[in-house]
Formats: sequence, structure tokens, C-alpha cells
Amino acid sequence: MDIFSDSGELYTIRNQFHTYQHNKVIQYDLNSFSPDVQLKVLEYQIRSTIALEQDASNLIENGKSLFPDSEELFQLLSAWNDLKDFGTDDSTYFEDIKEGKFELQAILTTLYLIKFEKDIDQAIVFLSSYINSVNTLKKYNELEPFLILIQLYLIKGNLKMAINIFENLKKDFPDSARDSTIYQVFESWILSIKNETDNINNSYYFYDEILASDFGDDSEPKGKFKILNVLLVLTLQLRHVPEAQELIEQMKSLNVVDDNFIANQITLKNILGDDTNDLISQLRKLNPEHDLIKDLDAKELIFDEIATKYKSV
Amino acid sequence: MKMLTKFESKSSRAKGVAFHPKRPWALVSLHSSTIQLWDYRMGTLIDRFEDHVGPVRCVNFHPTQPLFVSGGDDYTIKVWSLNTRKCIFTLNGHLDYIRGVAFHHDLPWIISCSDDQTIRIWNWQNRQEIACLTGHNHYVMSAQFHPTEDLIVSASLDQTVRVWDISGLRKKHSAPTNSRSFEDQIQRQQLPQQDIFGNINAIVKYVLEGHDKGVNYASFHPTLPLIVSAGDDRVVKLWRMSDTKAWEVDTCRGHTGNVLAAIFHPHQDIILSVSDDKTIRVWDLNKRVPIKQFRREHDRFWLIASHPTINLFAACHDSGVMVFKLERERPAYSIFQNKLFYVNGEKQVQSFDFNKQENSLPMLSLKKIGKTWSFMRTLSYNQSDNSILVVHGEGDQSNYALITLPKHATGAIEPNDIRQGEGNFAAFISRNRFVVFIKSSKTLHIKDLNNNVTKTIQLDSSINDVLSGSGGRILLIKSHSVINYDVQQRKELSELLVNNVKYVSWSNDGQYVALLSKHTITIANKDLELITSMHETIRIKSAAWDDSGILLYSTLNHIKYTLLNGDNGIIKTLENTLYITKVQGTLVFCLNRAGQVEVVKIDPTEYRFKRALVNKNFGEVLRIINNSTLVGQNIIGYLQKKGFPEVALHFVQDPETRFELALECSNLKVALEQAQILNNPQIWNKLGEEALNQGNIKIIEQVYQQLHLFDKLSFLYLYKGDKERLDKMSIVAEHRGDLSALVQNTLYNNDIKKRCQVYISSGMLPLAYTLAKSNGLDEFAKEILEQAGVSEKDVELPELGEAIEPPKPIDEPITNWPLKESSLTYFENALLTGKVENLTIEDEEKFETPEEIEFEDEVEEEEEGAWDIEDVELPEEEKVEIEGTGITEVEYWLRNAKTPASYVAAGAFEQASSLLNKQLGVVNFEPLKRRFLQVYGASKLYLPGTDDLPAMKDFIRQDADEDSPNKFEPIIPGFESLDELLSIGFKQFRANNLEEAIKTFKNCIYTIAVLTVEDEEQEDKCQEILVLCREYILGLSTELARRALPIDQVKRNLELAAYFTKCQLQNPHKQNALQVAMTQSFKNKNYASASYFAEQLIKISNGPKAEQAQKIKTKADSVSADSIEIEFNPYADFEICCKSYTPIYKGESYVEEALVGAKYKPEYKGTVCNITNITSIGYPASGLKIR
Repeated sequence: MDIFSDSGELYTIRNQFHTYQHNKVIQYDLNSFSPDVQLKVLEYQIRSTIALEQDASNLIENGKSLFPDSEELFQLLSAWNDLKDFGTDDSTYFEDIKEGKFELQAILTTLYLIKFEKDIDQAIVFLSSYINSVNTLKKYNELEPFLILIQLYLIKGNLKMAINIFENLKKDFPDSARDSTIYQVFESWILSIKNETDNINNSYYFYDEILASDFGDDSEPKGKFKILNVLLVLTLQLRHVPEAQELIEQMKSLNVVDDNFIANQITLKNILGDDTNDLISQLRKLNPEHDLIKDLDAKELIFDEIATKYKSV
Repeated sequence: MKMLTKFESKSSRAKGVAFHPKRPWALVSLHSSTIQLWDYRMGTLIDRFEDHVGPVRCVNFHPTQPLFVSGGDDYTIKVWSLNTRKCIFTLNGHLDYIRGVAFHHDLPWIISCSDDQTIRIWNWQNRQEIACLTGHNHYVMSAQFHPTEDLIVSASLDQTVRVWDISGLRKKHSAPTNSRSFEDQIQRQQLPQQDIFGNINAIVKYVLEGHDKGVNYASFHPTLPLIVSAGDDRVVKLWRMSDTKAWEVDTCRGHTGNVLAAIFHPHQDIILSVSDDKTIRVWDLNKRVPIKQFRREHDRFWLIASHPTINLFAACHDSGVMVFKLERERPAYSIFQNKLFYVNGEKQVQSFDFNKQENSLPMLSLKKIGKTWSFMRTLSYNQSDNSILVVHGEGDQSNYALITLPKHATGAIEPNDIRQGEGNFAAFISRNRFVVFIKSSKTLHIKDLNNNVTKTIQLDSSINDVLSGSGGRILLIKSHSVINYDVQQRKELSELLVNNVKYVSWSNDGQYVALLSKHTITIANKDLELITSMHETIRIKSAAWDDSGILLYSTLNHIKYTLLNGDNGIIKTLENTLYITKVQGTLVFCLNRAGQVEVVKIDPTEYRFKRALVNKNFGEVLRIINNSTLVGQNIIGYLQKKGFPEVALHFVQDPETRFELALECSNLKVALEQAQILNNPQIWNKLGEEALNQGNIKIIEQVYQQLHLFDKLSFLYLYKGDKERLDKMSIVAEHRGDLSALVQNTLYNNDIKKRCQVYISSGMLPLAYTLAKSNGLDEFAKEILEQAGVSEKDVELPELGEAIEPPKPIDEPITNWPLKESSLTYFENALLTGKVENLTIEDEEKFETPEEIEFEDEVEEEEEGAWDIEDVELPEEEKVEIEGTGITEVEYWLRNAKTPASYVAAGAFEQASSLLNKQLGVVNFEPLKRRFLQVYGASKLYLPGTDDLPAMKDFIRQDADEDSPNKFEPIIPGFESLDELLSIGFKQFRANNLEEAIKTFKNCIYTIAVLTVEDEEQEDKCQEILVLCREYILGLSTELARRALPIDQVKRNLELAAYFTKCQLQNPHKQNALQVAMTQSFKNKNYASASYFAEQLIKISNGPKAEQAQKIKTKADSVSADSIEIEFNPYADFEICCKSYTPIYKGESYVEEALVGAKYKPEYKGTVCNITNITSIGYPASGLKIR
């Protein structure tokens, strides 16, 4: 039986992991799971811990002793943990990986390539070659590489390739894959970027439902913020300005600092014709590499050239 | 359960009723002696039959023949013909009132029962009574044949129901049987029901005793061995029979008066009974419990009858008859992609694959959803979790249930996770939300798939119903209108006035909607703008769109179509009502009332043809003409009406119509051919007239010849100058002995001798002589004299002049009048040249897009001619993934960009600036920077995904509802904020913050310069705002310039103050300008000017300002002269140069700026405009384009 299917043991924890409910993930008692899946649970817990910006070295050490056969996995997680804590100082773990041997390694290496090497194209090549090398049966359980790959294409603005992967996936994978939250997450992205009210609404309801069912209390402020952040984008796409403003207020109260949140607020201010300078400088400070800043600088440059050109004529 | 009344007649007391087996007819017999024949579908009285004397208690149609039978209180049974509508014969024999009559289902028999305590059987073919059944010892109130077996059931006031075996009667009246055994004969002698030969007609099989009072009615179950009876003891009893015995099963109690009749439902396990307690009651046959009752206020019920095949009942009561059905029969269904999900007749969910045309096994049983008899009204399907949402029940009892379908259809399983609640309407609006409408509280709930309410919307109390919308929307139904409602935004988007909409059908692409009322179809677009509306006399049942935007709809008995322009027609006549679910090419997928899929094949040629014609797609029209057999008056009439008689001509075979059409399109050739076939004087006449109109002499000649119009023919030859023919005409006239015509002809052809001969032969010798003599035919004259027996001397002639020469034709004989060469119509050409011959259906695409084909050909040629490329075998791949971005959102925007603003939003700043330069003469771009970046930034979103990865690029469109890529456009903000900007500007003006105000107005201008608007109205508004901004900036700049002047420049000061007043400001602001000018003038002793400004101020103000102005005016007027002469003539027509702030008088030359239309003295040409600060003055620009 598929352990990720809705009747499998890992169904809930995987959903929680992919919907930013990291606190819930780490609170599970490993022993409450059957031995077969404990390793995977621990993997999620370690990743969640790292995502919560906490140190996961203890967990990793524990894991090493619990699962002596999975040395490779813990090496990887440990490298990832270190990377988060100390940056790229000493370790050359990820640099040395030329091809992904197993799912998580492929994923984390891809993330590394983006974050530290800033090379999306290489990341795409790397991840695609991993996906192509994996045999089909195993692939059914490994949706996450597809999630990353689709996002990479969407970052590049290549909706066509994203849809291509998505359509092939629909063809190749068993229907049960569609029950997976991962599937629904990347479907929601594609729907949103495809635009049109129906698509956006469908995507909106998906997140709205997660929000209503899993974030009733404020135990996961960061997770809740992330969901709201997506909802803000969808609301703006629908041009529901007052609702977007309400969302922004709600998000501010969660006290999470996030570059995309600022970027989308700038967009709203542009729609309203309000001044954006403060927000732009905030964003510049927080993440000078953000697409909006890069784009803005490039456009300003072009504009200034144009202005000079016409003036001189 | 619901009673749906289909028809009600108003009359005196109705006692008997019967349904016609095939046609929508009902016979009603009245207590007043009349029998009525109604069309209950149209609600019209077809006929009345009045031969009976006194009340008529019973009627019945023959199941196959055009006959009906009636029985009355005049003891007679009458058999009537439906063809002649007359009584054919009367059967006499009964000795008292007739209570019941009926035909046998296959034998030529009639059964009757009477107050004379007998049941009689008649053969209506030989009009003989063939049996008389005695045994009841009171009035026999009802008697009927068993639907399949040789049995009769009768009910009597003797409190019994009897079942009779009439197999003996059948034997006797069918083929001769073997002689009976002796024993048999002995046995039969003991029995009472035998004729004089000892044949036994009928034996009482069972006597059913149980009613405590007289029994009024008894009837058989159509298929089971059951009998239901109704009695004066106020109960309905159910009986069961076996081969050997019969027994009472149960009693249904509830009626509070005598029960007059009770019958079984023909298809369902239901008993219906009527009583003089004014109710119709419905009982559960299996549980014998009441299900429902329907009450009339004042009328006692007398009889109930069911239609043999359709779900219809008729009940007679004190003031007429009502025809009704129990429960709706529209199967609930929903379509998803190529699948139809529907509720079948067994209340099971089933699916149907349109492509394979295959039914699935039933998947789910809905029997336990709601009450036993509640009907599934609607079904909505959700593909994302394979679930359905059904609504069942009526009114306050209406509920919905959300059920997950099993993954595989393996037979109807019982549902296990039912989520339900109250609701009169429920449908999915997205993959995980559905909407529920509760009529009683007028609320709308949005629920998630766990059945939790996520949103509640209180609707207006006038909302009666809700129907499905498109794309997350719903339609709110009011009595007289429909509202398009966005659930997400809680916003009414549009409203259309249309009455009592019951059902809705959306086109496949969601662009059009058909709103169905009982008798009206209203077609609108997705924004509910009316396109067309039509009325149908027969009830409209369903509708579905085909892929090309044609609506097919079904009425009770037809499948019809309508085009978007309202042209409609019948496609097919239906035996039974069908509900159209989908149209695919020539197949119409319907559901029938038994909940089964029926695939109806139709011929779509007619509507395709009409659509092609309406859309002027003549290629398609021709293709259809050549490939289809499209005929019929309907299409010809249509073509004529639409102004294409020449096309119609092509179809018509019938010579008469062809002739008419030919005349209509002036095709004389065809008209002549047809006239020759028809050969009828009237036709020839018509042809002649038309030929004359066209000057076609040849045909006129032919027509005159044909009609023997010799006089006209002669005249025709005369003016044609055809001497030869004229001579022939003389001969013809002579042949005919028509002297008058002959003379006429000789006049035409100047044949003197002939004329003389005619005179001579008529004995008019003097005339002949005179004619001959006067024309110099002296010898002939002599002969005449001789013939007359007189000499020349005897004749005295007046002086003769020259012989008259007849007119001569100018030239050769005239031929047909020359007609202007007219080009043939598209069709004529095609039909004449036969160009269409080569077209086939396969060529359709080619014909419609010839350019494409040419293009393809070229490419092919090039490839083959110029390059010698060998075929390369490509490695086969399962999936070909082509790296490439496809068309990105921004590329769509660029492709669709029309205005500088859309280029800005798409990031194409170069194109945008180049356009702004060309259109408006923008040369100084710096001030537009902020606006550029604002417009660019407003449409970009950053969709966060996985942690550790940058956000994905996302976009905001101008219209998220737009689904055509050719109209994808980015959001361009600004139009909505213009009003606010202006009011800020005004505020700053009032606060004397003039520099800021100027900035604000400039901002307005920049916003408009880089803007896209939706329509003309918005564009006009922008133009107005631009002018307004110009005037304010000019005015404020003038004032600022004035304030900046050194004190000693009084003259300039006064002039600038005066010019400020010339600006077109709003009144409160103009007051400021006038006040400044007035006080400055007054202070500087320019009293005349001061008086003028004061006067202007008084005109537009009141209160203290006006008072002060009045005072100043009075004072100024007392002097009424200016001490300083300034360059300002209030009465002259001038504009102010926006740079020099000096007047440009009418007639003086000036240069203009293109964005706001600011005017300057010519010397400023080429400099940057003061008002906009971005445009060049006098630049040859094409003008603002924001739409």
C-alpha cells in the first residue's frame, strides 16, 4: 500500500510539511509511527526543524544512531543543517554532488544551487536528470522533485514547460497521485499563473480551505503567514482590493518579515497610486536580490536612457 | 412529492374522463349531458358531443381505432367516430343508468355496467350484446377488463367486488372449438352464466367481501395480481389474487368522505384515490400508508383516471377536470467533459460516455437519500474529488446531499459518507466549494467539502431561486429578472429582465446562456446582455448548445433549434418528451423520463445552412447546397425572406415555386423554362409583364405567341420593324378570318392591295376604290369599278394628295433592349459556373481560409523546388518536450498592446516612449518616470512557493474573466484615482497651496498620458479632465507669476489678474480669481475694470462675497474709468499664451501642444510645454490614444 495515500500513515505529516505546519510536524512522537516509516518521519521532522530556523544537529545525531544504515541521508541533512547555520564556509558537500542519488539529495542540492550558486538553469538540468534517471515505480512516491522543477520553470516565467511537466505527470501517474497535497500545491500555482477567474478561484479555495482547517489557532504563525501570503497574491489577481488590504493588516499582525510580502504590497500601492518608496527601500534592505528590486533597477536604467535620448534630440 | 397541474377545465360537474392513448386529448363527460374533447397540452376545447339525454357518467377511447364510447343516464351506450365527430351507433339493452363503459384491449368488445345490476359485454363490430353478467344485487358502479387476462373486476353497492372469468366468452367468439365432452356439458348446465346453447360466458371467480358499505370502484393492477377498491365506508382496500383464491391485503384509511375511485399508478408503487371529501390521496402500495394529499377548496372529486403510457392523471370534480402529474420527470444530470452523470429511473447514479456512447453500470443508489418518494431534482458533479451533490424534495422539505462516488462503477452501492443539509439549490462553484440556497430564509451558504459553512450571504427577499452560473458565479432568480452574482465578491454583476426563469443552459465556452421559462427562451451573453428572446406555445423542456453557438431545445414534442439572431425551426418531432443534455455533431444526447439516455440522430443541415447564411459564410452555404438535399418550403421561405431568392431557386423542384423565384431574381431564362412546363395563361402573362419590363423582346414575342395575342404581337413587330413577321401576321389574320386584325396589319405593313381586298370582300367597294385610287393603284381601282358596275365618272373623289408612306424602321429590326451588364451574385456565379462542384465536406477548411492554403502551397513548392532535403528519420520519443517558453503572459500583453500604457505595463518602455513621442510629442520624459514605474509595477505579483526558492512570476490582468488570449491585457491603474487626484488639487487650490495644486494637476495629466481605458465614455472623461487640468495649471501659473512681480509693475499685475479670470475654472475657484482681479483693479483705481469683475463675481456668488462685490461695484461705477490702461478687453475673444501669459486674439497665429491643447505664440514652437512639462509645443503629433 502507498504509505502516502490518504489511508497511509504518512499522509497527514506530508501534507503538514508541505503546507508549512512545521511545528505540528516536529511535535510528532517518532514511536507512534510504525518502524517502516519512522525514517521518513524523522526526515520530515529534521527538515521542519531547519525550516523553523532551529538547529537540527541533535535530531540528526539521534537519527544516525537509530538508523545506522542511512548514513548517506543523515550526511545530507547534516550538510543542509550546517548550510543553514553557517553558510557555505567549510563544507563542500553540495558542491561535490554532480548527480542526485536519492530524492532528498536531489531536492536539497537543487535548492543549494539556487540559493548559493544562483544558477536556475543548472538547477533545472540537475533536477531533470535526476527525475529521468529514476525508474517509474519509485517516481510515483516522489512528487517533490516535480514540485521543485515546476517552481523553477515558473520562476523563469516559463509556464509552458511547467504545464508540460504537469500534463505528463497527469498522464503517467496513477490517479491516486492527485490526492496528494503536493500535487494540489503545484496545480494551484499553475492555475494562478494561467490566470482567469475560474482558475484563480479554484486556487484560492484550495488555500482558503487549508487556512480554515489547519490554521484555526495561531500556533503556526509562520505557516499561517505563508498561506496568507499566497492568498494575498490570488486576491490581488482577482483585483479584490479591499479584501487584499484586510489580508495585509492580518499578515502584519503576525510579525513575520518576508520579502515577497513587501513586494506584493508594493504592487498594491502601485495599483492604488500610492507612494512606494518606503516599501522599496525596506525590500532593498531585506533582499537586494529580490526580483522586484532587480527588475526595478533594470527598468529605471532603461527609462533614464530613454529620457536622455529624447532630451538630446 | 409534488402535484404539477398541467391543465384545468372549467365546466359543470364532470363525471367521466379518459385519456387518448397517443394524442394529447382528454374526453370529459359532464353531468349536464355534454361530452367535451380537450387538447390538454394546448388547453383548447376541440369539440363537444351532445347526443345523450341527461348526465353522461362514463367515456372511454378505443386503444387503437379512432373511436370512443360513452354511457349515460338515458340507458344508452353510444359509439362515436373521432374522424367524423359523430355518433356512429347506439347500443341499447341496459334498463337503467350506465355507470361505466370501456373498450377491450384487443377484442372488439365493450364492457358496460349499470344500475340495472348487470354487466354487459358488446361486440361493437356487429353491434350485438354478447353477454350479460348477472349476480350483483345492487347498482354495479364500475366494471373493467383486465389489461392482459380474460378477467373482469366489478364493484357494486351490494358491498362486494367481484372478479369474473370470461375465458369462455373469448373461446366462443374466437375460432370454433372441439365439441365438448358430455361431462363438460353437464357441468356447465349447473352454472348460471350461459346462453341458450349452454355456453358459459362468464363465471364469478371471486366475490370479495370486506367493505362495510357500497363499493364505488375497483380496478386491476397493470402487472401484478392486485385489485384496489374504493367504497362509501371511506376506505380504500387492497386485494390480492392467486389462481385459486383472492383475499384482502390491507385497508387504507384517511378519507373523511365516500371514496369514489381508486387506481394504481401505472409505473410506481402508488395508489391514488379520490373522494367527496375534496381530496386526492396518494398511498404507498407497499406500506399502505398515506404519502400525500391534495385538497381542493370547493369541489368534490368523482373519478380519477391515469394515462396508459405517460405519467399523467385526470381527476373529475364538481367544476371540471384537472390533468396533473405527480412529481417532476426531468432526470437530474450533470456533464463533465465527455461524461454525463445522471440519476436513472431506479434512483441510481449512472454515467454515460458521450464518445463511446456507452453507459456505465449504476454506481450508487440514492434510494435511501431523503424520503422514499422524494425526487432527485438536480445533480452537480465535482471532478476533483469525484463527488456529486444532489437536491431532492420540494419547498421546505428540500434538502441536498453531498456524496462521494465510488471509483469504479460495479453496481449500485449504498452511499456511506453522506453530507447533507437543507437547501433548495446546491451546486459546486469550484473544486472544493459548493453553494447552497435556502429559500425560506433567503440565505446563501458557501460550504466546503466537509459540509462546513465558510461564508454566509443574506440575499434580498425577492430572490426566488438560484441557478448555476459560469465560473464561480450563480444566477439569482427573481420573478421578473435574473441577476448574475459573483459569490466570491458578493457582488451583483448584472441583471436582465426576464420573467419566471426555471432552467438555464450555458454554452460550452461559457459565452452564452439560455434562460428557460415555461414558454419563453431568452438568450443572453455571459454578462447577461440580451441577445434574443422567443416564445413557444408548447412548454419548453430543455436546451443545450452545440459547439458552434446554436441552441437546440426541446419542447414537449419537438426538438428545435435557434440561431443567435432568433431564427428558429423544428428539427424533429418527438414521440415522448426528451431532455437534451448535449449536442455533438449530428447526435443529440437526451435523457428520457424513465431516466435513460437516448441518442437522437438529427440532420443539422438546415440550421448550419441558416447559420452560414446569416454569418455570410457563403462558401459554407454553397458547400451545403451542393452536398445536401435541403428542401422544403421552410428553407425556401427563409431564403426569400433573407434576400437570397437565387439560392432558393437552386433547391426548388416544383415548377410553380421555381417560376415565382425566378421572377423574383429576374432570371427570365429559368422563368421561361418553368412557364413552358406549366403552360398556363396566368403564368405566361406574368412572364410577359416581366419580360416587357426588362425589354426582352424575344420572350415577349414568345409569350404573345403562346397566348395568341395577335394584336399585341403585330404591334410588337411593328415597333420592332420586322416587316417579314408583319406580313406573316396578315396571313395569320386572314387565316383566322379576323378582318379587323387584318386591316390593322395592312395598316402596319402598308399593304394597300390587301386592305382593298378586305374592303371588297366585305362589300365596301367605295372604300376599296378610294383607297386604291388614292394610292395610285389605278388598274386595281378600275377593277373595283368594274366589279361595282359603275364608271369612273360616277365617282366623285376629293382632291387626292400623295400616298402616305408608313414609318420606316431606323435600322435593323430592334432586338432585346440592352441591359446594363450586372455582375452575378456570389451564388449565381457559383451555381452557374459549377465552381462548387468540386467542393466536398472534407474541403471545408480549405474553402473557408483560402489564404492559408495558398501559403501552404507556396511553402511546399519552395521546399521541393529549391531545396533537396532528404527525409530524416526522427527518433521516436514517447513525449516530445520542446524546450521553449511558449507565449508568456507579457508576450500576450505586447501582442495585444494598443496604447503606450499597455507597452509600459509589458515592460516595453522603448515602444511606449516612441509612441508617446509620436502621438503627443513627449520629449521630456523625466516627469513620467514615476508613472511608468507605477504602471509597470502594478501588474506584477510574486507568488511564494517552496521555502528557499525565489517567488514565481505572477500577473494581474485587466479582466480576469477574459478567456480569449487575443484580449489578455495587463491591469493599468489610474482611471479610478483621477477623481480623487482632482479633489486633492482643488483642496490645495483652496488652501492657497498653488505650487502643490499645479503638481497635482500635472500628475493627473501624466496619469492620463499613460493610461488605457475601456470605453468611449471613459475616454471622453479623460479628455475633459485634461482640459480642466490645463485651465487650472494655466490659471494658477498666471497667478503665481502675478504674485512674483515687483510692486512697481502695476500694469502687468492688473493684466495677469485679469487673465486669471479668463481661465475656465469651476465657479467657487473662479470667484477667487475674480476677487483678486476686482480688488487689484479697485485698489489701483481701475474702476471700470473693477466694476466689470464685480459684476461677474455677483453673477456667480452670493452671501458676503456678493455683498462686498456689490459695494465695490457701486463705488467703482460712480467713477467708471480706468486710470491705467491694460491689455485686457473683457469683450474680446482671445486665448492666453501659456508661456508669455499674454492674449492671443482671434485670428492671430498660434501653435498648439498635443496632449492638453495648450496654446502658445508661434515663437515658442519647439520648446517644452509649460502646462504639461513633457510635450513639445507645435510638435506634429497624432493625438492621445488611450483605448
